[in-house]
Amino acid sequence: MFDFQIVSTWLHGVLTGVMPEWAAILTESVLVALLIITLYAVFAIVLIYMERKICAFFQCRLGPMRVGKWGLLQVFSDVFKMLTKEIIEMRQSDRLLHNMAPFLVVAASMTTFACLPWNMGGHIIDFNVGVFFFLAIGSIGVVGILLAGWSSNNKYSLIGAMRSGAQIISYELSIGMVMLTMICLTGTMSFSEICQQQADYGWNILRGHVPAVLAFIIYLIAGNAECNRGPFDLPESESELTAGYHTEYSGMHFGYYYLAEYLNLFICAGMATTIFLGGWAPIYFPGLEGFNDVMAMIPGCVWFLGKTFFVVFLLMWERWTFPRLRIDQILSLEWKYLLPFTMVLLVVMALCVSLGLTF
Amino acid sequence: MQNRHALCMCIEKAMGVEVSDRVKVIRTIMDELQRIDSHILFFSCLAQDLGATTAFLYGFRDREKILDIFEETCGGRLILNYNTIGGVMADIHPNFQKRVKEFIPYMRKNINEYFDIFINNVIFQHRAKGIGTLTKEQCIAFGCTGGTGRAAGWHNDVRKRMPYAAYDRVQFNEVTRTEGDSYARVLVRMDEILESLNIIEQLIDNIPEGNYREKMKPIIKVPAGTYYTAVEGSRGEFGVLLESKGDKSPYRLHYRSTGLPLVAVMDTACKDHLLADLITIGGTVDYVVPDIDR
Amino acid sequence: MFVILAVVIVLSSIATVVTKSIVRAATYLLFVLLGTAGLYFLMGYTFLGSVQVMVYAGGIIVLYVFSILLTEGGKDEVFKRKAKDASWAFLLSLVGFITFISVFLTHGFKAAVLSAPSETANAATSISSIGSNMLSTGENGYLLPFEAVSVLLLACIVAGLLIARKR
Repeated sequence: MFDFQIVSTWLHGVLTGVMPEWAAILTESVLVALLIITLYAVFAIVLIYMERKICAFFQCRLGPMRVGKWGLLQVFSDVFKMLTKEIIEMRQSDRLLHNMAPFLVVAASMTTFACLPWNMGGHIIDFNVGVFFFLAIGSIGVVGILLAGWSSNNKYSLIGAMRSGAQIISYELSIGMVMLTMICLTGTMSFSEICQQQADYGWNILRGHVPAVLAFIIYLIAGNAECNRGPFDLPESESELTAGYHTEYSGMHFGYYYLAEYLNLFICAGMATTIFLGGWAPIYFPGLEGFNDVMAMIPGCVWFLGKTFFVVFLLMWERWTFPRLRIDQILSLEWKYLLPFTMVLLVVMALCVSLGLTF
Repeated sequence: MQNRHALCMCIEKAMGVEVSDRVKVIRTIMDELQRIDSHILFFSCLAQDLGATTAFLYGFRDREKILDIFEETCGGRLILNYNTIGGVMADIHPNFQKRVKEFIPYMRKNINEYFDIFINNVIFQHRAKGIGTLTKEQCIAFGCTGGTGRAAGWHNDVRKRMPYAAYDRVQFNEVTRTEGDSYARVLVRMDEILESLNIIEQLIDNIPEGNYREKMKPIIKVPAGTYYTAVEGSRGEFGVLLESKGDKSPYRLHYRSTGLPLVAVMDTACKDHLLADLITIGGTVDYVVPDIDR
Repeated sequence: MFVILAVVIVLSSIATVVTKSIVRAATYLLFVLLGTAGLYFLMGYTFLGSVQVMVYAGGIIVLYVFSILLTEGGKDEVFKRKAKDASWAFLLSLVGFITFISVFLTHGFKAAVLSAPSETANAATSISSIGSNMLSTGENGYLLPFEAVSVLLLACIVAGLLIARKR
């Protein structure tokens, strides 16, 4: 398996040969930050194009076809349009909070983006409590949304922001419980070790059989709700609230929300890949050694990206098929059905692990 | 199409002009095609308002077939200048019967898709069952004709009560339900699409020969008196009141629009519901805003 | 790094108390709490840092903002302070400050901290030790039932609210 640590130790060696230790670390930090920002932007562009094409194919039409061959330049032109739009200042809103709210959301999103395990040895943030850290940073985005709705000085933005905030903090519980279920199985919270275990023993969804499959399904539902997407997008439904909490934003500020929404989708899918589908681990069938060796030749980041895009496809499929739920139905789904079910699932998984019923 | 039909029927009745059987059958078939078109639009817009954009596009894909049929014969897709006093503007296109006969089984098959993707979906059922219930008395009091009234149990189909054109010679059911909630209103219109397909199927092979337009004087003078005719429009009873004093232009011409009672009943229907239910109720009551203020 | 975090925390704290708008005060408080979490991360204690972010920044600030938004506190007027009240407040805060500084300077900090606690498996504050303390029945144990009692308390509060609210 291609280990990214080869590259990172080589780079560190080259830099420390040229400059003192602290300067090397500073340079590496700056490089990593630039890498995160670049990857963030690149994935956003890919995801936006993917969404438009996939949604078009579900709806029996072709999607963007005119700007560039097969519409490939469509997203670039959209981004360009968004950059040149005028940022409208409103008279009675709180300017500081109004301008700051998109940055909170994007900062939270980028920090969680940095937690994803890209390759063996290719982790940017790899704490011992990785999963817990991920859940914690996800909670900061809610504050950004609430501030955006309040500072827009608009009744409907406020309604949209409160609904969105209530929905996100409710579904965070389900996601936490589902992740805890899988951590019962893996026994560790750090992403690199989770992926390493799956590389050695097989994917978690196969190891955990029934509870893990149920947990995966619940994660797909709750993840959609966390990202304010899919059947749970009442806070930004156009026909009811004219875009909810980001109504009053235009130009690049709206661009940040747009970016953060797609990247949150990607991060949610990336998390699903890591804890259920194996992260960067290739397919492993105990016994078929030749097949396993061939699979292991493909580098880990290709596996990770492939699996993540598959889960993104599942989430987009879910979004474009179902109608929207009402806010009281969203909240009652969470508190009355999902939360008790996930608690029971946690207990079942704990029983399975302690009785040795997993693979 | 249906609105012009009402107007032309009113003037023909006032002047005592008897149109040929061919005209009656063609007008019936065109009316039913427009009814299907309008009900598909109802379904698609309801789906889109509730967030199911895919169902919206499925409906529009099928609606394109009807609009293409209209364009071939009538020259227009949505604004149809086809009915005229004394008959229709031009005879049906040679391809008309063939295309309509192809359309009927296609639409029957695709309605199942609408049920699969949207109407039988548990999310939609939770959003529509029991929402915006109107009782029969309320519908009669407000005058909510059309599918809205029939969903509450009011038998108000003009095609059955005061048959016109070729409706007295075809077999079809008047679709009514008793619940009166949004879900019933949706089901009524879906069943009406199937009934319209039945009507067209009975008529499409037997279009009698005859004149497609009676000879009329260039200047129409309606004898003095007050005349009223109504057709069953897609969204309700569409009536035309014509009051004439024997001159070249009418003394009074008033349309009884289908939309005004439907908008008036919104307040009653939406009491004690949530903001998000406004969309469901407004979508299923099926008013058209430009139609309200005639 | 510590200097940057310290400056952020101090400035945000001052801004929290000084600002006139209550929603802005909540936002500056968010920065203070994030800065504190940063200090925990700097010490290498990532678990406590994550808990700080999750509970304080993600939970309590959201609670504050929700309650401000639901009770229309953002539109309150700022009332003028009287000079007499201000001087009492100044006196009390001076006393508090002197107490704090004297305790701070007399306690021997240097001896207590020699190495940053790391989170390898054999350190005293790793996750597995927290977990085993939660479930153990010995001297430092019974932590999990203790935490579960707080959930029971929450249920009681919600029940009390439900009974006491006006129809």
